[in-house]
Amino acid sequence: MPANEFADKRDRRLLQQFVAGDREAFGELAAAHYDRLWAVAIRITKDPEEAADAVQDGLISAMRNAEGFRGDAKVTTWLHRIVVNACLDRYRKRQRTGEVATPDDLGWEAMADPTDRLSNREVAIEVEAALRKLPLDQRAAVVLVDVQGWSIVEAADILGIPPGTVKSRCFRGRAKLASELGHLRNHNPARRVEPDAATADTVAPTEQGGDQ
Amino acid sequence: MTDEPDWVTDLLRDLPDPPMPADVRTRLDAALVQTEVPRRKNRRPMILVGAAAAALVAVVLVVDPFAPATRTGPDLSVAGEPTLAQISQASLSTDTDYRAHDMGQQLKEIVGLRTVHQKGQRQAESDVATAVPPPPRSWAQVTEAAATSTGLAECVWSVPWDDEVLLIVDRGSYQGEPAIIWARQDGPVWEVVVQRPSCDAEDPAIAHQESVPD
Repeated sequence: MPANEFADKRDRRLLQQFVAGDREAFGELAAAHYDRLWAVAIRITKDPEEAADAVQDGLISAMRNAEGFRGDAKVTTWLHRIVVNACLDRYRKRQRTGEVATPDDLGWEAMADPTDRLSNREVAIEVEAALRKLPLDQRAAVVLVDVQGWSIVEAADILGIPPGTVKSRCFRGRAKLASELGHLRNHNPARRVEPDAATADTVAPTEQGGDQ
Repeated sequence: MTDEPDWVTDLLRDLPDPPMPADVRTRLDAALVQTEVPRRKNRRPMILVGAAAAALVAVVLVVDPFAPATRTGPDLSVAGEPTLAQISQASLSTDTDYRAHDMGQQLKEIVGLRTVHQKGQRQAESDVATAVPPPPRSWAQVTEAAATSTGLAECVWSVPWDDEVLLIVDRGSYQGEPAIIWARQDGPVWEVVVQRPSCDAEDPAIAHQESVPD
């Protein structure tokens, strides 16, 4: 059984147990998703405090609505949808009130894991910094699809937008990242690519710029 | 040709996930334990999973698309500009959720956005709802702003989004080549895209773009 299929079976079982009255089952379910939910929340909100609040709001909302889980999506997709929307709501509210924090602590010190595929931490920090500059909608799409590996369709389900819009936002986000991170183009010799002029010209049509 | 920067996706894919701090984990554990969950008996499960995205239907508004007499400029020419009323009326003939008033209002907003964009200003999407849109400009001006401020969009840009292209606004020419002007909606913002129609599904660029894994 593929790992994610196994995980979904486990998630459904825990959710059923919770709905049946086993309160601890939801805690176990949530804990299994803490890291993934945190990773997307911190990247969308760009603020540890906001990310923590959003994950908490989302999980409590999921807990209270567990009886309504219909089962036509994976449990993890359902959880991500609720938490991501909590993140987007919080970020937009904060933006409206002008309280946009810019913390730089993503917990990198705790990430000395030598098995990280991107071993160069400085590169990771640069990429994260560029990611933070993307407008909110593009950042959310890029984080879900390119960083977390959700499919376009799954990301569309999580964000509640058509798949084409996810593609469009990813395209625009990648183009901006390419412009921002051009100096990292050949940072990995195993993936070295020949330079061309195209990337510099990768400009999204009718771009607004800034956070949306 | 605009290209998908694969090396960027490589960088992103290899980005390690920041770990959830221990204090946040502890706080979440406590919050979940303390949360009261109302139990509802004999209640049918409510529909939590959202409805499918609205089917968006392309509307073609072409008025004698390449008639030389209607061309308006040396670089970008637009034939038979549809009015907001025409587009609003067209929207009524589709099965979309968009009401004529909304469509007209959104089109006014994009006109306003193009104006802002041309001046090089930055305006957050959230401002759109509160901004008082300036008087509508013509589609020729709008599409010219879109084309000249960002460069002509390549076919790779718009073809894959055919599930949500709402309006083929017009056809004309740009830098001596035929062009199609699309309008598509992304949240409250409308994008105007000037596209070379010479690109088609056989074009390698399209194949490349379509290779985005679903």
